[in-house]
Amino acid sequence: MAKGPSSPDEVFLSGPFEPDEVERLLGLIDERLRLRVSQAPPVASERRSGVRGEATAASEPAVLDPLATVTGDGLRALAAPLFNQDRGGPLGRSARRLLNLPLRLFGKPQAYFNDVLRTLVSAWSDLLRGLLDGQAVLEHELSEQRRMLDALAARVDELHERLDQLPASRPSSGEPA
Amino acid sequence: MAGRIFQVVECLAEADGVSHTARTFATLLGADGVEPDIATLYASPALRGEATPLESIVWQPGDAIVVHVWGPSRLESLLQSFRGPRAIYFHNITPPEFFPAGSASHRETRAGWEQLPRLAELADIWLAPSAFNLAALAEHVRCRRPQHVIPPVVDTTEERARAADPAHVEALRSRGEVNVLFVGRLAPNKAQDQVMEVFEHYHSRINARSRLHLVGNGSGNPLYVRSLAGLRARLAARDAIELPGKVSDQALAAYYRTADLFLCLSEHEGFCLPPLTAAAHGIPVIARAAAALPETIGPAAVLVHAYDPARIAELVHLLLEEQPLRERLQAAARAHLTRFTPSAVRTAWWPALAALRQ
Repeated sequence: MAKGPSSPDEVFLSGPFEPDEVERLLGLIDERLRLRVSQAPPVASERRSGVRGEATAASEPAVLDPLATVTGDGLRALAAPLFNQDRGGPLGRSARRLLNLPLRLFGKPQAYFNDVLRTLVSAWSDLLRGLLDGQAVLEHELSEQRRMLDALAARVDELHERLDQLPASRPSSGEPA
Repeated sequence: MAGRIFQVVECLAEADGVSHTARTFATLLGADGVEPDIATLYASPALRGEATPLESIVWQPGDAIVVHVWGPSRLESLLQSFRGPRAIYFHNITPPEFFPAGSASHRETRAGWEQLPRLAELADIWLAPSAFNLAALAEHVRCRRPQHVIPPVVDTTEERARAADPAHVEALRSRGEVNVLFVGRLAPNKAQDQVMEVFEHYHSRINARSRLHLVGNGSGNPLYVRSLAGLRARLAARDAIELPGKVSDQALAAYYRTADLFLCLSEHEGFCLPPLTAAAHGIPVIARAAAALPETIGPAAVLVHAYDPARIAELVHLLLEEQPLRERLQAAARAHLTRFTPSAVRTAWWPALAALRQ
């Protein structure tokens, strides 16, 4: 099985092909991608975080979407009421560790309150996300219904036109010609 | 006289991968002393003819059991009390990290992994459909036992002869579109959202005359299913993405019969039968090089090692465009599928059966 590098040190695809064939495929893929660059941008990557709630790929946009980032994990990263010991240089971290000592002792009620708040906000965030998803589904269904209505209206117009074009009905055989 | 060998499955049901595997083994191994009926705690009405209630079995000296494990199991007490040789057949368990914390799937899979070391220690032999599963088991458990890889059966002749719903075949072909297929329950580890994203690129940039069919049961992961519906509604290709849910066997055969390409981007699979079924139908398969997939479908598929929707979409286009590539894949699939013929699987069982008889 041959593997092909998509960049000098990264493997993108492998298969039951000769190495030359894999190289050719990779060349074609990249060439065609370059040719399509002028077309409309894709819509995909920024949606991922909302779908599976997991860590997203390195290619994710740098600008954070609040709805996508206000999750339980994001909120838990906030250290309040303690100082964040993971930020700053070695000196700053040591200082924060020292400052946190009394806060750990006397800040328990506040820490408990913050924890409850984080849980609540996280739950509301999930609910909002669900509502947004539901709204998107309903909007899609609505647009489907509109399209069907338009198609039906067009069909009704067409049938009206045909009716207008029909010749006047013939007299029945029992009536005089 | 040699004792009987029972396969034990907690729940025997239709359209269930574990039940399907156990039923195939029961049919295949009748001549080798494996009981044709599967011992169960519960069997769906349609399958009761193939099952024996566990509580009705009077165990005899020399009897042996093969317990199928795929999650938290109520069969631990059986493994504890059973006096004869015991094997577990480990189908793997999805890592809980794939599911939202607090969800039922998260709780269940975590419970399954927590229980696994106890089940593994109670067993005398470890069996699994892939070496990947055995490695995962060994990594999770301190003790060691004799191990055997016994894959499920993929019978090309039987697959191609399977009755397909003609109306469904006609409906799928009538549009004259490229049909891209994935089959599997809707679950985060199966990454149907990424399949959608790849298809979005393919449909909106490369070929608008295309349709994606994500066939599979969505009842187990309502949050994920809702997110998938939300994602689909926001995509430009939304009208070309179908989520038909769980379908009948005849409808499923229709999907395989009419598919032009099978796209599997699962991040965790212990085996994954559908890509092999697709390969048996001569469908080109693109799969992610993750978990057991390189081992189980790898030699018969194009494996992608990085998630890049635009490049994967171009790869889909290349495979559909170049007949010689598809022919190479089909030839590779024919060779690879010989590992999964009934006779090959039966042979793979023999060392394990011999050990269970000792």
